[in-house]
Amino acid sequence: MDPSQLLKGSLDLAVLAVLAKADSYGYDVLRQLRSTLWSELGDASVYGTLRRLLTAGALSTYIVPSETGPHRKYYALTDAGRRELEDGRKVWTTVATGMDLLLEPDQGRWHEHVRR
Amino acid sequence: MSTSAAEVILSYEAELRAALADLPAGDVEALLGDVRFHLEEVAAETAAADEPVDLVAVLGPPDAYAEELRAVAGLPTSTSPVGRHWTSTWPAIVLSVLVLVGGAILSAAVWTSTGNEGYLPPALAVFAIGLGLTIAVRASPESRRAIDQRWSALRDEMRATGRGRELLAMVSAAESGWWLVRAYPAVMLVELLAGDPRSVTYPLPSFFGTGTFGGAVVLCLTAVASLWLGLRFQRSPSGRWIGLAVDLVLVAGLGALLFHPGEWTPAACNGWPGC
Repeated sequence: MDPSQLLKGSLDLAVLAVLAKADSYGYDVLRQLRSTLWSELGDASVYGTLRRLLTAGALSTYIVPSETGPHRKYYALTDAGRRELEDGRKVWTTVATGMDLLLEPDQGRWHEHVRR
Repeated sequence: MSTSAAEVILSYEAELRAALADLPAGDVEALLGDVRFHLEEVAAETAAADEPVDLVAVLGPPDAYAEELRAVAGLPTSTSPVGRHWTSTWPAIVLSVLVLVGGAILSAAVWTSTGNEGYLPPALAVFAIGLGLTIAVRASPESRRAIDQRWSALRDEMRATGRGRELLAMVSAAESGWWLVRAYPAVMLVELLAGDPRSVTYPLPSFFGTGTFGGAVVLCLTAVASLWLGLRFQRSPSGRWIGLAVDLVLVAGLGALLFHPGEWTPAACNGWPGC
């Protein structure tokens, strides 16, 4: 199964979660997501998600000058972004718990849940 | 950042913009507002020592990157093959032909009513061709994109060989020369279209009776403006297309100037052959 389809609807949440840990720049966000979620995650998907969240007001940016390389554009969560992350976390927990249950090989647990 | 890395980044960005050229400007800005920063970061993070930056190897072809951006933003993707875009150019081509025919009819009407076998018919035809081409280019972003893609692929192939690179350098030099030269047909066409044909002089225009000195000054100023515009619009894909449409009008005008001087019968020919 292609993980990109699974990630499609949850990339916003993943990007917000990365930036909730620390402000970061685009390529670093990509690197963290590749090491955590999927090594073949597309650069354009992450860059596009950052742009969309920025336009929606969930992120703000600031420039960090560098003497050795190019200046970095850092992304940070706004208050709206933090609220979106919290809402997303609740939805994710519900869906993930349900999916875990559906995928549980032990039929007994499943029947017990349905009977309840 | 080295010049070559900056060129690679600018080129990649330009191709991204070309691949998204069919979208409204606001959508393109929403997608690519920070892309220069991002490409610079990617180049800095991935460049190996003593090796040129290769963004295509890291990010994939600009077309594919642009498609992914569209998908993430929920915008319509353009997954149809390049060749299929040509079908959408037909309405624009039909429109161009109609404008051309309209221009020819108008020219004939003016010719008949004035009895002047003069400059107006070819000038109006040139105008009609130019207008038609401009409409064709503006009306069909898909065809522009398809041509941009083909040109980009051809340029990449040429860059791969030494002779191809020489040819591209030659074309680039010739382009700057053309930006200067095109001032002449531009000034002459303006004078022919807007002025009194009997006051048109060759080879230097008198530009609305200001004399050959005035004409020479106008020519020089136009050449400088043309060079500035050429350099300014060179980096924008849509600017290059508008420039191409203007150039086609001027080339057609130059052809009209060279092949029909005898018909225009201007009063002051200044020894121009055929007058």
